[in-house]
Amino acid sequence: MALLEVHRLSKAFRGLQALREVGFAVAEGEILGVIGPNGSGKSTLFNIIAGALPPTSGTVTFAGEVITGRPPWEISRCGIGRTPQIPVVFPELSCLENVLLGAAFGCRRRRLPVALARQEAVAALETVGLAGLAARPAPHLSLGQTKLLEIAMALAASPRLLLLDEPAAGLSPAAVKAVLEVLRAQRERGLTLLLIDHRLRAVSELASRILALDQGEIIAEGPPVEVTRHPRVLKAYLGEA
Amino acid sequence: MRAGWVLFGCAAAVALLPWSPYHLSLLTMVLLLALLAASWHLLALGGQLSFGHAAFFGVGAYASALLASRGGLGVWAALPGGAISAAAVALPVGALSLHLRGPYFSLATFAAAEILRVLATNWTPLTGGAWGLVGLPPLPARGSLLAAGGIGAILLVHVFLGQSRWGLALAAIRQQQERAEGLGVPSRPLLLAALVTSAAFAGFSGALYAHHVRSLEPATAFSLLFSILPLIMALFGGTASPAGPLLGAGILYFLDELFLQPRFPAAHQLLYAGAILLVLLTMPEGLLGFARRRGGRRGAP
Repeated sequence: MALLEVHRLSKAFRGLQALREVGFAVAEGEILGVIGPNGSGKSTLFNIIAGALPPTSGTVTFAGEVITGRPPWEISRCGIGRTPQIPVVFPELSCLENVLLGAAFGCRRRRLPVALARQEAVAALETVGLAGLAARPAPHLSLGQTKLLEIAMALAASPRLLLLDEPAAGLSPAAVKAVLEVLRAQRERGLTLLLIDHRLRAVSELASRILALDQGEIIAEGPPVEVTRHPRVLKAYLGEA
Repeated sequence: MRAGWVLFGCAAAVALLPWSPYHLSLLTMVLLLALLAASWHLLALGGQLSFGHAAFFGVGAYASALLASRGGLGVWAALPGGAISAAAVALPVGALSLHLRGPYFSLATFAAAEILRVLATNWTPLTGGAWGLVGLPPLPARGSLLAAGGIGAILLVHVFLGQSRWGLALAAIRQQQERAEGLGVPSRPLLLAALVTSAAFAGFSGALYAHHVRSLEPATAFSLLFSILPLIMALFGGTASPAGPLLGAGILYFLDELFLQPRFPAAHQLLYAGAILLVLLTMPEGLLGFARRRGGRRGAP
């Protein structure tokens, strides 16, 4: 059984059809890349799965439960973690406190004592290489460190599925390398990932399957080698010759 | 937090001293206003600024007054009744208004206070209408200690928040509500719990007020004054710590009652407003925040 099933999902913002009858499934342990030019509906898709937006029609099923329309905190507790496209951290909190929120409230139905949550938060910071900056206020990090902190916040919650919205966007080559290393390690651990990125090479390397969106529709789906050479994908990215 | 306990200890000790009835009355009033300001601050921890705490203050005042004057309860039993009634009213108010944020939530709470004022004015058989209720049973001797007890209970709530994950969750909601929700923080249920707790303390403050002044009318109990005063007192003292609203209430009330009103009877309101503006413009983090920033700077290498 698939871990995540998206069934005929549509979203319209007044006159704009952001998603049109999108459907796909993600198996446990799979890494699915989602690509597409700006405005193709990638982030809208993530927002609906995570509960930040209601769909106009269609359903999202996670681990056999329909989660469409549930509030974001319930979806997070079901086991879906997320990192946003533009990093959003809590500016008055330290790095450790930011991650502690994920550990204390995230993807679990049982209540975790604060002391144990703190241990998990420290472990998540170690995973992304930020353990040395635990006490530093979150706004004092570089963009690359902030992206890593976002990943730590999501990982601390022990999700079954992690939605990553352009985790390496706007980063220096060294920071991109650090982010990709963390994601590779999560792939080895068997975590299920849904990854949006413009870098076709990075997505192709990490994902076992790619879904290409354009104007809210799926235009190609399959192994990275096939999708990145698909004529409709090339047309969407490069335009007509 | 430590400053809050120091202020609480001072207030409780002062309340035990042998004061004249006038000074005891002033002390009771300042402590119940400090309790109201501290209750407003509980909700502000989650980033929601109420412009309508008079709703809960007034419901607490009327409920306690009616329980004691017509329900046959003693004041000791009626006072918690006021707190419980205010908390019960906060449930539907919060359920209807907490999906709003920022100024929209503030205006919704303001509207709630106005609706309750109109209701109290027109429900004459129960509330006495615009004439109100008079001759209410008085507070027990040393009623100011009851207000101090309420403040102590609010400080214990802060201790609980500091030691559990809920304080961190409220801070996260205040800073980035959507991101907090994405991490699993149940923002709306948590804000509703904060509003109900805050309303219970505001209601207790109102109940103390009813038996302190011994008369009530809707235009006073639900007045804008009891919505705006806690906000001003909290901002004046500083919102970063529970001690801020207590300090703000103490300074502003005594400044007006003991200094401005006796010396400048015609212009005391103007000078009072000037003092508030001066602090808010020059110390936007409030008196306590300013003092801490200055102290931190001196201590820095």
